[in-house]
Amino acid sequence: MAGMKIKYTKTERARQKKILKVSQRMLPLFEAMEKSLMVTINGIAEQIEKIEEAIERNNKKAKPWLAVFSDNWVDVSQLISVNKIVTRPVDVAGVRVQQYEKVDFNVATIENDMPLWVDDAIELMQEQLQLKAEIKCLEEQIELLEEELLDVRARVKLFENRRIPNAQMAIRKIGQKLQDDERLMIATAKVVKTKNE
Amino acid sequence: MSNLVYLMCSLPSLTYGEAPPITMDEFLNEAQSQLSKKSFLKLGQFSLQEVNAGSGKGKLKRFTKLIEDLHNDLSELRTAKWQQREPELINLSKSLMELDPLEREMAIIQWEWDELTDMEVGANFTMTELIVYKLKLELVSRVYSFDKTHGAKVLDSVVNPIQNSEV
Repeated sequence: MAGMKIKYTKTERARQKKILKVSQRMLPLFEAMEKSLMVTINGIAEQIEKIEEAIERNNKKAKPWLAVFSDNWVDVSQLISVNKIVTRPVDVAGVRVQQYEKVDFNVATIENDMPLWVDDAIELMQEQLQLKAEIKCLEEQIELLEEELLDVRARVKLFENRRIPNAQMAIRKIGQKLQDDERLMIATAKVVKTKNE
Repeated sequence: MSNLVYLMCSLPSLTYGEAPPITMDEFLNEAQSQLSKKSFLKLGQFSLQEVNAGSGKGKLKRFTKLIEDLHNDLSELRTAKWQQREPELINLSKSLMELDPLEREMAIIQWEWDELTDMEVGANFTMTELIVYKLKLELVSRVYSFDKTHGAKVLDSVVNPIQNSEV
């Protein structure tokens, strides 16, 4: 408000009233949006936690047989690689994000002379890569949603701390000034009338 | 013959489940220095990873047949799993599928070791014994390569981080 020049007119008061009305109507919307974004982000964080637990469960399950991955007959890195993470755009809490669909893998053909553990290893690696790809997509979603949350919070603060108080103050000041002017006008008129009499 | 006897006597004995006392390269260098070119080439034809049926005679032919059957068993196990039915196996036991992948691999390697041990009976100081030694050395080296910590690192290098990905 400091440094802000107010026009003490009825038109300005009407304009400030309109600003106040719009701001008071918009504030709950932005607050709801902020809440919705926070709930969505927390939900995604929980989803990530669950996926991380699934990864840990798979690791635990594979722990007794991890030694086969160092088999000098097989180069595990040649068995599988990620070709592409397939996603599709969706709107989450009003923000356009990429949702995980599937992972497109390059999987080596399993020959008959390949050790039997290779099948289990490919299955495990596919599952872990899929889960990690899903986490990657969800983390990117959180990043975008947090950006939006910052923006919304800035708007809420703007309405709460600047727009609404400024409009209220402007309306009050203009009202006082207009009242004072009216009183002065009446008093002047009375003085003029008395003098004329 | 005398060179073969000298070679066999100079090779350290192999024990299943223990570290290989000699590397494959050391073994092949030693063999190359003692064997004729023809015998060395014959030795080179045998590998557990690349066994061709009929590449040997007598006991060795039996061995290549066994390995071929093993590969057929592996193929049958894979097909049966895919088709969700009971596998019909030649050599391997159906109970293998109840084991975890490491136990299963060790059971298969133990079976191969036992078959090789049967094969070398009565074949002292022959090419058969030398080939069996080479194949047993492959098995011992392979078992020795199974390392939990290294295996975990190998798995981690594949699943972390996701490379060559596009969103």
